[in-house]
Order: sequence, then structure tokens, then C-alpha cells
Amino acid sequence: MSAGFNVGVYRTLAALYPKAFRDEYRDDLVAAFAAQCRDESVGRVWLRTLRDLIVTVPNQHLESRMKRPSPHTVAVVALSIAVGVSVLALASGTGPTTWIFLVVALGALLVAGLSWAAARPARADTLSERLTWWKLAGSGIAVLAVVIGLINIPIWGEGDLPGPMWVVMMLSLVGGVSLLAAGLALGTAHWFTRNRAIPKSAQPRVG
Amino acid sequence: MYQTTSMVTRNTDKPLPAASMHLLLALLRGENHGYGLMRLVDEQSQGTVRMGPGTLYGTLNRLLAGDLIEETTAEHDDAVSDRRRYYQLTGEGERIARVELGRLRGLVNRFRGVAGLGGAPA
Repeated sequence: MSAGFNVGVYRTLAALYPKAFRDEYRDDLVAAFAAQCRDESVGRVWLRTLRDLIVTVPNQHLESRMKRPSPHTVAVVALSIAVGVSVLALASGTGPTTWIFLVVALGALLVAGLSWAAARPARADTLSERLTWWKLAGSGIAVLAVVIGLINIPIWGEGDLPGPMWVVMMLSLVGGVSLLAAGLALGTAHWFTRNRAIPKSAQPRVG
Repeated sequence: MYQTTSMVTRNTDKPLPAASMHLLLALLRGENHGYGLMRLVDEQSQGTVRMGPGTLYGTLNRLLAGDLIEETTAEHDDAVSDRRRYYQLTGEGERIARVELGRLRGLVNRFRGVAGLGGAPA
């Protein structure tokens, strides 16, 4: 591999740093890496650099978040916990621990949803204005796609789904269908309301 | 400079994190650029501390934010062509570096009298 290739790969990896840090130091980071490659064995430099990236990228993100906390920080953290605990629930098979993991994941998901909603700027006044039909329907389709995908991938062994997972899947299916139905209903209602709200006399004449 | 929250103010003389300490001690020898500092730290620690670029510039950024070092790039003609940034200790940075050095000396002195731990027995 040429030196240019290694430097190019590192330049790409340096994109993992937060934007402000990257804007300030990307050229310096790349120059330091290139100089190291020139002076030492490339393999050793990569070993050290990968370890460096694993430690410093999350650290820089944490520092930039602490400096400029986003209103969505709590939601992002809660969502990360929900995803992590869900993976643990899937990995733990059946048993009481699975239930505990699932309850924690649902709790974290609830916190994520509430904090996300609380962090939203109050642009729209009513719930119906905020919940547009396409968001509801899109969420429903996404949930259904995930659930159907999870049911069909062969990670469940020979038997059926583990008991708690079966309940979660069924609830998710019902939730997905409900979201889709609600979205379509809201869309239809909006369509009728909008057409009725504009009197014929106020509509532009064509021709 | 990209500002971070940590080390923006430093009221106490608590021990510095290892990377910061090594960089401040390296800068006691005089101003230098990033890669030069990386090499100096490697040399002064006899190869036991080898920083990656992220650790180097993350730490330099924190030291800049804490006013312990300052950039002197503009004073170097070769820096413009090399696009290298040069750094030097501020007054406060030099004081902190000397405190760190004193702390290390004190530690070594305390063990000097202990037989078998790197010093002549008392």
C-alpha cells in the first residue's frame, strides 16, 4: 500500500471527529499521521492510530456535546440505551432477564420519545398540526418493515420466537398497523378539510 | 481555536492528565510544532508514551483553551510553507509545568532512600 493510500484512509477516518474539531485540526492530524508513516513502520503506526481513534473520537464528541448541549441530548442518550438494552434482550434468549431488559428498553424508549417531544420548538399549536399524516403512516410502515424483517431472519433457532419476543413482535405489529391506519385516516381528513376550507369563489379561475 | 469545556479554567495545582503533563514538559524545552512535540514526548518518556494524532491535538486544544499554551505560528516563516502550527508555554503554563516537574522530583526523592527501588539505600 502506498503512503498516499494510508494518508487518504486516515483523512477519511478523521471525518469521525466532531465538525468543529475537524475544521480546526484535520490538516494537522493528517500531517502528523503522514509524518509518523514516514518515520516508522506503517503497521505500528496504524495500530497506534486505531487505538487513538477509538479513544479520542467519542471523547471529542462528548466534549463538544458538553460545551453545546443539544436539546435532543437526553433523547439521543435514552435512545442509545434503548437500542443497547434491546440487543442485550435479544442476546439473552428467554427467561426473566429478557423481561427485565425489555422493560428497561421500553422505559428508555419512552424517555427518549418524551424528551424528544419536549425539545421540539413550539412551532405548531395543535397535536394534529404536529402529527402530519405522512409522518404517522411512514412510522407505521417502518415499524411493520422492521417487525416483518425480524420475524423472517433466521436468528431464532429451530423453534418459534422466544415468549417475550413474541409478545413484543405482536404488539409492534399492532402498533405499526395502527400508526399506518391513523396516518391514512388523518391524511384523508386533512384532504377533505382543506378542500372544504377554500370556498369555490376564492379558488383561482383556470382558463 | 475549537473550545472545549474541560480545563478552561484551572484554579488548583492538581496533577495534570498524563498527556497534558508530557506536552507541557516537552514545551519547557522551547516552542515546537505538533509532530515535533509528539517526537519529544516519545523521546523524553523513552518510548513509553507514544501519542496518536487525536490525543496530541485534542490535548493541545485543551491546553490552548486553558491558556497554558499559545500558538506562535505567525512568527515562523517556514510555518507558512509547511502549514505547521507552533506552540509555546504561556506564563501560567510554564508555572504549571514547573509544579509538575517539582512533583515528579519529590516523588523520586521520596523513594530515593528505599533500598531496591531505584535509589541508593540510606
